[in-house]
Amino acid sequence: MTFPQTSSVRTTTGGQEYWRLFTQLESSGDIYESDVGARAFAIGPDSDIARAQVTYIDPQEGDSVNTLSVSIDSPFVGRVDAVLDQNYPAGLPARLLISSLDLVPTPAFKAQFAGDVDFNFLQFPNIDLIQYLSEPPSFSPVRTDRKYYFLRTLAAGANQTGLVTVPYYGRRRGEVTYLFSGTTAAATLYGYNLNLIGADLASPDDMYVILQTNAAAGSGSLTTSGRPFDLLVIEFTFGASPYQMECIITTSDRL
Amino acid sequence: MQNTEAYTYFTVPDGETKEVYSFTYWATVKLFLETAGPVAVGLRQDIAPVLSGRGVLLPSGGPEVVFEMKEGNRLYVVSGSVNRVRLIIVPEFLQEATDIIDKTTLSTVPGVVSGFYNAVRGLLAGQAPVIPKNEKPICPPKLRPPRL
Repeated sequence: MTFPQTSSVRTTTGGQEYWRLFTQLESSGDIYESDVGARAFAIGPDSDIARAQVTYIDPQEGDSVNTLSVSIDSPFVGRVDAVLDQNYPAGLPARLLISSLDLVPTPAFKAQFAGDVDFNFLQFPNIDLIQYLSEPPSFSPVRTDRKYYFLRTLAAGANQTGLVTVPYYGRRRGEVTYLFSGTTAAATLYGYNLNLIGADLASPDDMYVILQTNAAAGSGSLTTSGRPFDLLVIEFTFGASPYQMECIITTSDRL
Repeated sequence: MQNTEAYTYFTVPDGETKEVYSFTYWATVKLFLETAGPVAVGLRQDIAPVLSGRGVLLPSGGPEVVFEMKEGNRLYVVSGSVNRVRLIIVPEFLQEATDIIDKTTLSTVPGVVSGFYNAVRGLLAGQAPVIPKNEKPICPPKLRPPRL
């Protein structure tokens, strides 16, 4: 979470036509604020999450609160007021409150695998939400492709197991290309759906699905099958010395 | 003599009516809301809250809202959020001059005109016209184009 967050006021007084909230999320409870009214909301190109939520005070409902959601395929076009001279029922000024509708992996997500794996890399997702201050242009909402590099990843010893987790959030294609320096190694690709009560890879349930497994393969690639997940989790099992791996993960909204 | 003014006004998000400009001359004011709003403007001091209808809501992204302001008018604005309002103030000298004439000169015009008329006719005010004998009545000269 970026703190202090970017200022919508500075953007407004600076003469821009939109305010961009682009930062890394660390939990599903991260909430950002805007002091400026909006003409439209859309997911930006560098977002990892697919859905964001905007909370605002609803003039039609008196002092009650309403929400709207924005997703990749469904930007919102219409005036949403920030009304700082009024308060939310909790007493805070009625700014626009922005949060992620998609669940975000927390350190607790990593902790649940602590006894099962020897190393664990987690890439936190970004939120990229664009608030248009004036009439928006035509939308072509799509996230850009993301590419993650894990080069010269080392394990402490032979036959160790590790996890690499990257955001996916409903993307249409994911591909993992890897290369082990050891002779025997294996890789398994999981699609993982986050939930509010947590899940454990050691006790399979419907929270994750094994998409592809390459057993005892020194190198290769794994691909998703177009199914929507929150996260891609790649489990690597290292072979014999020197326990080194290179891995490139690509995710895309296009097939 | 006043010059045309053009600047950007940023609204203060406290929901209180703010005076934007106090006019000491006649002017045309053009207001353009560049952001989402809502922003209300008016000529009265009690236009808050912004959606009360006591003022005029500026349409976001245009068209411009234009006011004809006379000397002594004041322009007020209210908003609950931060917004950009483009403000162009064009002095209206003709209207101001007309206003001055209205207040001072125009009231004396009928007397001036009749005095001029009587002077041309060689008559005293209040007397009936007398046409000399064997003379034709005075007629205005024919209109001729000026010699270039």
